Amino acid sequence: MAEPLTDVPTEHVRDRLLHGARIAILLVAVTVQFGECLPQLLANRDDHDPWWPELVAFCLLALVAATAAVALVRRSVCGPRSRVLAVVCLLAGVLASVPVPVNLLLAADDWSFGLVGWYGLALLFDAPLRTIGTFLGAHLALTATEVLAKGVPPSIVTAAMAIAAVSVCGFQFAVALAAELFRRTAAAAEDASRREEEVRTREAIAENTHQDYQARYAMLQDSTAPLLTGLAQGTLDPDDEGTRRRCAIEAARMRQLFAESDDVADSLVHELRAGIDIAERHGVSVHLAVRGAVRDIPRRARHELVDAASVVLASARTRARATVVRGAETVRVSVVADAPAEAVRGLADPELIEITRTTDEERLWVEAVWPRTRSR
Amino acid sequence: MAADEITVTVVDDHPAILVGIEHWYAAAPTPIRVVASGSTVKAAWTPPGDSADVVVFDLQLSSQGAPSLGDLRRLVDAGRRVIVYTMREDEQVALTCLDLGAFTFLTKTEGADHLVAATLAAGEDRPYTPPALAGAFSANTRSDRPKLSVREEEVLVEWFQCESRDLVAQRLDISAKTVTTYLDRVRLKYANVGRPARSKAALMARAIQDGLVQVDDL
Repeated sequence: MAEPLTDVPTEHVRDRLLHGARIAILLVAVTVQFGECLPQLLANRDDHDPWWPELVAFCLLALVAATAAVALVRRSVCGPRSRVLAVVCLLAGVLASVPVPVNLLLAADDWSFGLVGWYGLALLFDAPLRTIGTFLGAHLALTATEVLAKGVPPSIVTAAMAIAAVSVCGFQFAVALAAELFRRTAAAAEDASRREEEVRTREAIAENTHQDYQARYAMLQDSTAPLLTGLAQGTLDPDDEGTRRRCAIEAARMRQLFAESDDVADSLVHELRAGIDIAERHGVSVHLAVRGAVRDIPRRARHELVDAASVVLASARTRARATVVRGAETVRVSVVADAPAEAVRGLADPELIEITRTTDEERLWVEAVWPRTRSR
Repeated sequence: MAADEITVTVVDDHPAILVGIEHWYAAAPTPIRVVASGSTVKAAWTPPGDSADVVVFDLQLSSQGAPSLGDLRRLVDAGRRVIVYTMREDEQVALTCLDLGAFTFLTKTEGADHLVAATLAAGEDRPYTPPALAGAFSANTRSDRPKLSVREEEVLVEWFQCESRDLVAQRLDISAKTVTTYLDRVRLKYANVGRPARSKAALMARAIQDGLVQVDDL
């Protein structure tokens, strides 16, 4: 039976790497805010009037940091919310620099300039590089607009501002680039890990399949071999109804075994068709109806379901109706046929499924349900 | 036209099917007469087919590739009782037909046993659920699926599997009549969801009249 083979969460490799990187960037932003910006904010209190916009902006940014931290802890992915928070950061940056005189913009007094970029990076870490570029560009454009609105300062100050802008945003953009590289490496690592996992899974499946074949051939040995021996030695009469039925059942079992190695999406119906094929060769008209989507069931349970159906099909005289119903909780295989009630006597006691037999004068109805609900 | 006679228009593009249907109807306990037939839906819109009580409609006419759900919807919207009679086995088509307001959904493999009964039921606006349709109800995973009781679910799946009321009754230890009642209740629950249609309303009205459901149940 094919059990889940390993539980190595390959898809987590990439997630773990990226999660760590995101925490690192957020830590950088928070350290900058409280280690560098907070003293500057307090120093600005006596120099700038009004001072409150700076305080409001500082609180807004702290709030953004808290929201991002909560999202990180909960590992919730919030694309649209991150973008909204990034816009909040940009606005906070504008608000914080309103009281700053034009020639001190982008200098130490304008504490928010670098900080906004860091928060932008932390929030938009998952976004494409283009989005981060747009964010930093918007930040620069807003600052430039502010400079123009307040009156362009002497050229030496403007030059210093340009140098500050390029070095701060350039560095941040470089970090974003590195993050993108990191993401690609993570994707490659995930890919490699998955491939390795696939190889391992295939090996394990092959191993299981092999064991299963061995077991089923052994089972054939117990039931088919005595039949063939009996026929060969003349102890069994081919004209006898019972012998013929046994032959049909064994043929159906062998067919099921051969059908199993075919690689098909719906193995249950595929194996059932093998039994139907045999019945049809014996002149039985079989109607198969299937309801519900294909779902995974243990190989062992599938054998038992198909085996129960095949036995009835092999014993049908003229007509049979086979059905498969796959629901959320159960898988049912049922056959109604004009078969003798004693046909199911040869059926081995199932382990994983439940078999119900109903009969009237001319019909035998066997319903096999997986998983079994009644305990034995 | 006799008062208690049911008139039928058959839309099917295979002449053998028409002959077969007329043969089955001839043996019906209540007279059923095929008044018109044709290989396109036109037969149901033009006299004398336009006034028939019931339309037996092949969903998959060879002149069209896809199932003619549009034709079905137009017939239902005109207040016709339509029995969808088709080669199609899949449950999604069955559920869609019912949602559109088809009276019932019958596959051609089960035709012989059920078409006459379905036609008689349609003539009286009484529910009729053939096994293939019960299977579709049973496997339905759509979000607007009506809520069914455990017993109703059991009856649906067993009826689909064995196609015999007697065997279902024996299997579940209830009477054959009770099996029918459960099937009818499920059918009415389906009439009560999805797209409104005159055929569904007629079915509900008749069921209330028959005491199968109470007005409060709706």
